[in-house]
Amino acid sequence: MDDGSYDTMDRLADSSGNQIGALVEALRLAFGNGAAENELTDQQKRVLAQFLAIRNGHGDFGPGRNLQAFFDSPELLIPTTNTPATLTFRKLPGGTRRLIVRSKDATGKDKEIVKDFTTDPTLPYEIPNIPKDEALRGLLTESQDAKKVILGVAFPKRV
Amino acid sequence: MFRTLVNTLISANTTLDGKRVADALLSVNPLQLSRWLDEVWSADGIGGSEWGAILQLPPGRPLGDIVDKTQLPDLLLATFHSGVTVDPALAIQTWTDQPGPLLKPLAGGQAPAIWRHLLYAYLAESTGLFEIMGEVVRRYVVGESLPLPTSATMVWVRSTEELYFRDPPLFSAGGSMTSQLRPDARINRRNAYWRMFGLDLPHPPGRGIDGQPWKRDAGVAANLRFLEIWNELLRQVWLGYENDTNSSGAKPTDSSYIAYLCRTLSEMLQLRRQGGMLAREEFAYVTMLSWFHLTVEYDTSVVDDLSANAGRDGNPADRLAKIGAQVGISPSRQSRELFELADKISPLMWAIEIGMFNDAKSAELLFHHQNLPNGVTDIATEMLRIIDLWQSATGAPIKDLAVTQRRVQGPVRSAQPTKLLPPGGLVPTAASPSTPRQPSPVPSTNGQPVASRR
Repeated sequence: MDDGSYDTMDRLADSSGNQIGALVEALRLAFGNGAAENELTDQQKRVLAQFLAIRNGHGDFGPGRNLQAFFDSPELLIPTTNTPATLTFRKLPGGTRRLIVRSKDATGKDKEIVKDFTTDPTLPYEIPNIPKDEALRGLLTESQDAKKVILGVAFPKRV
Repeated sequence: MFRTLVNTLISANTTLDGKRVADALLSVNPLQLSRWLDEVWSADGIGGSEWGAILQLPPGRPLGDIVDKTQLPDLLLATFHSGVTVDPALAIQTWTDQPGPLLKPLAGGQAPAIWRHLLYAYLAESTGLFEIMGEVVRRYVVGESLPLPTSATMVWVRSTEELYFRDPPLFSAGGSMTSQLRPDARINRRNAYWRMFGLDLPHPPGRGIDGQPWKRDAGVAANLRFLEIWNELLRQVWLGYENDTNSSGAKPTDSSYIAYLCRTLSEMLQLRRQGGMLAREEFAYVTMLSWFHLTVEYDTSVVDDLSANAGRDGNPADRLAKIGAQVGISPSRQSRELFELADKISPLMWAIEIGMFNDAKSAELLFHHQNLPNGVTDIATEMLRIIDLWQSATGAPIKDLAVTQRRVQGPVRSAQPTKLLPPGGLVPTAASPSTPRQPSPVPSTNGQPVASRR
């Protein structure tokens, strides 16, 4: 089954200005704050993210040429101080996109949320508006991992 | 821009292959394509406010307000769509005259696609692409010296001739940028390249052009130091890349110098864009070269008919060479490097021009690649590839620092500033009362070497 990761990544990369802005911010935050020796400073992270955004603005979406490789690194995982969430994004027959979020609730009990997105053919151009989604919002409140969800939806192979 | 649209369509639907999408786009009515170029222009590219927010640009950078003031009126744009966009069915739409919301092209949302930097057009044209494909069009419309075309090829011929070999429609953003005042498109393009980069195309301009008229009209405001500074930047980046891991001993890396070079390039390029100069030319030329580049990027119908196929993963340079052989024009021997370089250099030039690497910390990203998390070496990796391609395409020994001649050898000049001579030479000034009158006034040399008189 196609996990739809590349497709989704591209949609985020070339979609609306707000979403690209969110991506830039997510990239910057994803590296964490502060810089030890040989690590990137906050300013450098932003410049790097901006450069990648420019390249995507050129239509440079080739597999493995930009953001996918950028996120295939375990080091880039956001340190999760609370319960981590695992996300899987799948493309189902008929064009439906399914987002599966697995995590634990506040009591430590396994929790899974399955969210199917519509078969609306314009879907590839829509990024799920996570903060407004009630089901996910509850989970995010528990996991305190909104940034990872953003990255997870955009780059599902990462999680 | 045309290639950006095809890339977007392919990436949105992996069942589509490039050839199919390229053929579809190349067969769109030229009136629609011209209209679409106007829509792309009105979206403002990297000058759009959306990009300003993302890239944290000061107002007016890098394109100023030239697009806002030269685009078609909003109502005209909103009521008369090109029909060329990324539609929900992932196919080229049919022409529509129905009013509707104007989508900014390619984005499906609010952020416009970025058209390529003028250096893309220069490098792509350096392959000989324009001359060869132009000759293909000419031969198809005046005779039958080429293999029998299919109707798809003749549609491409018609579109190409309409878009790039005749006067553009009035008030159009694209086209050949000619008028009664600048009637020769070949000279116009060379003029833009000369002013922005101080570079000439490597091949002669063709019949009917004597001398280098594009330089005569450019005045003194060409960026003649661009190549010198660009080469120096590449050398310094390579120096940094090579010595990135040095933890003891000498470390010649100088990120502040790299930042200085980037700032110089940024200021130099921005200087040529004052008031929106060269913006329309840049847009017209990069979109035109994108059209021809797209034609040879895949085994399109035109390539098929000319028996210039290079296979699914073939290189545009190979197709161009085969087509060139059919029309008796050899492309540049460095076409392979130039095509790849043209694509890679455009995002970098925009980044440099908007000042992303103007300080030492940011400039480090151009070469810093060691001891970083995986995947974070992206800019350095890109720079290394650009250095390889530039060195291979131009023969400039970027990596061979031991034998690199950093400056062009020439007569040692005085540090005193030079000044331009007015037409007719210097006007003699009144002699100082304390100075004995000279039989003939000797003009000031202002540090210039003085020719010996015998």
